[in-house]
Amino acid sequence: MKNVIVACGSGVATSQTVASKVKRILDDNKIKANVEAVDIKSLDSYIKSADVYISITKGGKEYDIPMLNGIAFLTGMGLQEETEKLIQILKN
Amino acid sequence: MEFKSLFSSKLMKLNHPSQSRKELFAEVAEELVSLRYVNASYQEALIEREHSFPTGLRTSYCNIAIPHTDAVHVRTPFIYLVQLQDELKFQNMGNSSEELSVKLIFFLGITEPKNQTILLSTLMEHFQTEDFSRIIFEEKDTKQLENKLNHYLMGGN
Repeated sequence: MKNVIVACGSGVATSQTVASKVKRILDDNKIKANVEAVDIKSLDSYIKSADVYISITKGGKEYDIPMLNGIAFLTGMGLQEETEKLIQILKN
Repeated sequence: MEFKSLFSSKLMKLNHPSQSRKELFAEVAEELVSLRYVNASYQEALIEREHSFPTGLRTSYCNIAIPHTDAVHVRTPFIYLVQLQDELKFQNMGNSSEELSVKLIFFLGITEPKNQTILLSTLMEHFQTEDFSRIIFEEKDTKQLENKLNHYLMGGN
């Protein structure tokens, strides 16, 4: 099963909220994947096993896996576009 | 935890004059400490968290900010709403080099991250509707706003 990782500053509010939204979207689209919210400090240890990284803050490190804009899942602004990218990545 | 019971007229400042983010954070933190929603460590942790990970957000109808910090500083979950008289600058969560002018601020108190995502997700979902945004933006009476928000969140119009 593929792994989706969501990271924000402390893993308290934003990443958890985005992760639960992403889970709902995947359920609605009948895609099975693990979705995990982590704080940015422990990101490095999770990223190795991840297939896609949903980032909340810009300007962090670059990783060699696809990165999506987490704010879209939070505010709904640009959600359609990011959802399509996510589904595309997880279906491949 | 019921989201609708979280908006309380006691946890609101409407049409509030504030000169700076620092002044506002201090004012809200002191009140939350005296109401025993947070520990004394909250204020410093909140300022530090906002500095490292800003919380300004662009939503469909207005800019908002959602300052919050680690659960260890929070005793009881809450949302403290401030509607400012004049906008204050917050850095954009998604791009900290961009400043947003913000008039609505939601201080989020979260004690159990995994179980309280409903708090932020409900708030963000409602901000995609113009009616909800307008109610919070325009109402000047705390009791009226509490009633309207609770009515709205229970599925009324």
